Amino acid sequence: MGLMWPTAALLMLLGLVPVAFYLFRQRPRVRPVPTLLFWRFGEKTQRRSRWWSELRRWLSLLLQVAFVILLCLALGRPHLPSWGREPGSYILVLDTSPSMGAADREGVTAWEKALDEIDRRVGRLRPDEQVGIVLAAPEPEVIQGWTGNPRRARHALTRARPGPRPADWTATLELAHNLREGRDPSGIIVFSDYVWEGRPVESLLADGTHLSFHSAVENAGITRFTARRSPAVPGDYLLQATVAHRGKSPLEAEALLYRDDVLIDVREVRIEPGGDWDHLWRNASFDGHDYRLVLESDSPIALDADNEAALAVPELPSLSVVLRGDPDPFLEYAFRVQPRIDIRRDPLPDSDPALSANGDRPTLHVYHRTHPAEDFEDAPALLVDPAGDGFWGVADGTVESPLVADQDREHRLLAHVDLGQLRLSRATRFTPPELSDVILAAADAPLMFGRWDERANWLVLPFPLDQSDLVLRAAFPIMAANLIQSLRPSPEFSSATLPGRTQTLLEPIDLAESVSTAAAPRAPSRWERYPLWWWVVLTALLWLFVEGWTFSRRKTE
Amino acid sequence: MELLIPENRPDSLTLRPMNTRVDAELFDDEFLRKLQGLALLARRMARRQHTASHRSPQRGASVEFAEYRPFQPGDDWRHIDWNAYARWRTLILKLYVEEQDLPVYLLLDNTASMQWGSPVKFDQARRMAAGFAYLSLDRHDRTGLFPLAGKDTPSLPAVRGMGRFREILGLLSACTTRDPEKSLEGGIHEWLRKRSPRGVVVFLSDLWGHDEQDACKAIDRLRYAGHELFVTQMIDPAEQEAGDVGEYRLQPLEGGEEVHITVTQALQEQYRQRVAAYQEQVNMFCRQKGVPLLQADTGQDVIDLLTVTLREKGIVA
Repeated sequence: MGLMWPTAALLMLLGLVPVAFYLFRQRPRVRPVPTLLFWRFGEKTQRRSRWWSELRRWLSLLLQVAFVILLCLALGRPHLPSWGREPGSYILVLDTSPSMGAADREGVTAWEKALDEIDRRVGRLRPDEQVGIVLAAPEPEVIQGWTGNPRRARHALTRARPGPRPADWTATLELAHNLREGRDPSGIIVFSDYVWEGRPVESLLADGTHLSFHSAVENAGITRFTARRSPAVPGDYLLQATVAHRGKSPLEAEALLYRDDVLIDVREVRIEPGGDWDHLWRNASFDGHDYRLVLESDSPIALDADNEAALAVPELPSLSVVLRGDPDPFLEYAFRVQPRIDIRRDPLPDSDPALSANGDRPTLHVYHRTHPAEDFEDAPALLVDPAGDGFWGVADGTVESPLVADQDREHRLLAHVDLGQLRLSRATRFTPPELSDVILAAADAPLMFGRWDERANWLVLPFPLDQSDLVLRAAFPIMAANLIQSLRPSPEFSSATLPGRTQTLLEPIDLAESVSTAAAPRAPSRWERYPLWWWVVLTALLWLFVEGWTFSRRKTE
Repeated sequence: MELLIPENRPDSLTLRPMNTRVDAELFDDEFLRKLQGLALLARRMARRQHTASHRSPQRGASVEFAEYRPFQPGDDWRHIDWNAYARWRTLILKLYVEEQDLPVYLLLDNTASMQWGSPVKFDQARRMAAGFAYLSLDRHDRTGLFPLAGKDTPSLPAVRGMGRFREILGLLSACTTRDPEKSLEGGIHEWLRKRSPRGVVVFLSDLWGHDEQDACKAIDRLRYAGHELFVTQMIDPAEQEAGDVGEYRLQPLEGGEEVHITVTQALQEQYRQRVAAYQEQVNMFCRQKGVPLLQADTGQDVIDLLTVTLREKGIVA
């Protein structure tokens, strides 16, 4: 047995104090009595039992000394050699993945077990040892740098909670390795259930001790809950949910769908072992809503984190369209029929389009037979039959009755649009600038070109609308809708934050044989929860009681 | 504090400067006034006569017939019952109760063991002695005071008259406890050697002797000497118990050197039993021998004790 605070051994010299008291024994109190007539018998009796009194006196001394030594021993925090570990400093890596919240059959979660084990190890810190604590999370965090103070380490752990997303183990282990650099001897101890999304490189895994707190328990949970607005029908959107199940018996549950905290649907969920349950809800609304999906089951479910998912379907954002140049009813109407569009005509073609935007809403500038000013800022623009050169290219004559020869069918602006039969009387031949795309082209001239991506949004239709049949085709409003939809800033797709399929199925990775692993220690029994020093203190107090009793007996018998 | 007692009867209790110094704390005014009341009570209870109140066991000339006994040479022939001689032809002497003045001896145990308790047993004994002295002097009995311990301890032979009460108080005030050179029996024996005339002996003591038989032997000595005897045992309740448990060095006020002892619960019980047995032994002895015994708790008022003595024991009255 060793002492975690060896200096406490010096305190054992306090055991000499009672010895000194015994050596310089205090004289008994003086008590005057009128006569010894009735005391002599007691004196005779006590003379006979004096050896027993002396024995009790020495036993009492022994108990007192032992009491002092035991207390000093408790202060030194003794530890047993069976704990056998080499002295050194350790980085404790604690997994905060949602799967750590999975409870075993006794209802104890892996997180609680890991915290107990960390607490136990921190409590056994020796004076020359230190620990650092790293939380394994999507963005790993050092919650406690090197410290030899168990209280500080425990305090840091009080801030740790299982997170909603799986941990990034590569980043976490790299951080742990960086932290332990330059400190020797030191090691890394990972406290996890090893339900990991990916597998870090072996070198990161190999240099550490891995304690697994995984329990083979059944679980079912929501692995997907998404919403997607329809690209074809503005306002329409789909909610999609997937429930996965891992277990030996079928799962019978109910999926409850709430919209703005009002229950709107209940679906029976029945999943065979290893199977999934999928469902789609269709809704139509330009407004935003909050959706919540709750999975309820009487069957045992180990993990709570994936039993509920929430997402928000955003409001369909409105868009401003500013028409500039010659008015064209077809062009105006093609945009006006779009939902959530604010159309206005700008009478000042030379004004700054950015300043004329309506609030912070995105604005599409449509130039018809005109073109933007030279100081035109980077704003979405549709140029129809532009009169002049500019950043959109250089005009080089005209092309009569061009025929569509090529169409980029993959381009997002031409989704559901077929312009192969487009008829044109005339088109201006432009030389598109670099980095622009030709979306529609005749044999010798581009008929639709521009750049429509994350960096720039401008498109050129180098032909007059009134000399083509484009405005008469159904493809024209669809193309306008594509244009508008592509400019809506809010994502049309939203997804609930969920632990993920791996976490829900609680499938741990296989650690290679080269990786140093150790079975997580079993949960300590009621008696084992108390450290050795606690028992030493208890023994000392018991000792004190015995001493008190012995002293009392010595005094009263 | 000292008071000076008047030379004449203390009925008026007017204190005048006198030579005899009296411990005013021990014998305060209240005590003396109560003694007055007690004397009135005693006078009412006693027969009013100027001669001594106590009947002598001696036979002599009197009007009250006592008994017959055969005539012996040397007897006074005037007491021969001639009627009896006429009937039985034998000289029969007719005896009468002789009433004579019996002195009251106050034997005060001033051994060191009396200097104990709260209030101190010796102080209570002195106040009791003062009370007895007052009552006996009030009844015209000769009264003497004799501390038992110490050869040089002043004593007062039997004197008569209330005017001597101040002397008794002064003597009581000056009397101190001494480490006894002899046992109780030895002290009594020493006093008996003075051959005081037979009388009434009031023995004021705690009866803590050298051994458990010492007190009984002392009482026996007094009985054999022909004295009428009244024993007052001063008892302090605290000395009936062994006290709290623990280790002590017992310092006896009398009777030996310091003793180291550990008071235990068993010892407490044994002590209690032995003290009770001793008290019972003394009690039984006095009952068997016809000796009135007053076991006076030092916590009780002295006047109350004297009243009890008057009413129940009938000693003084």
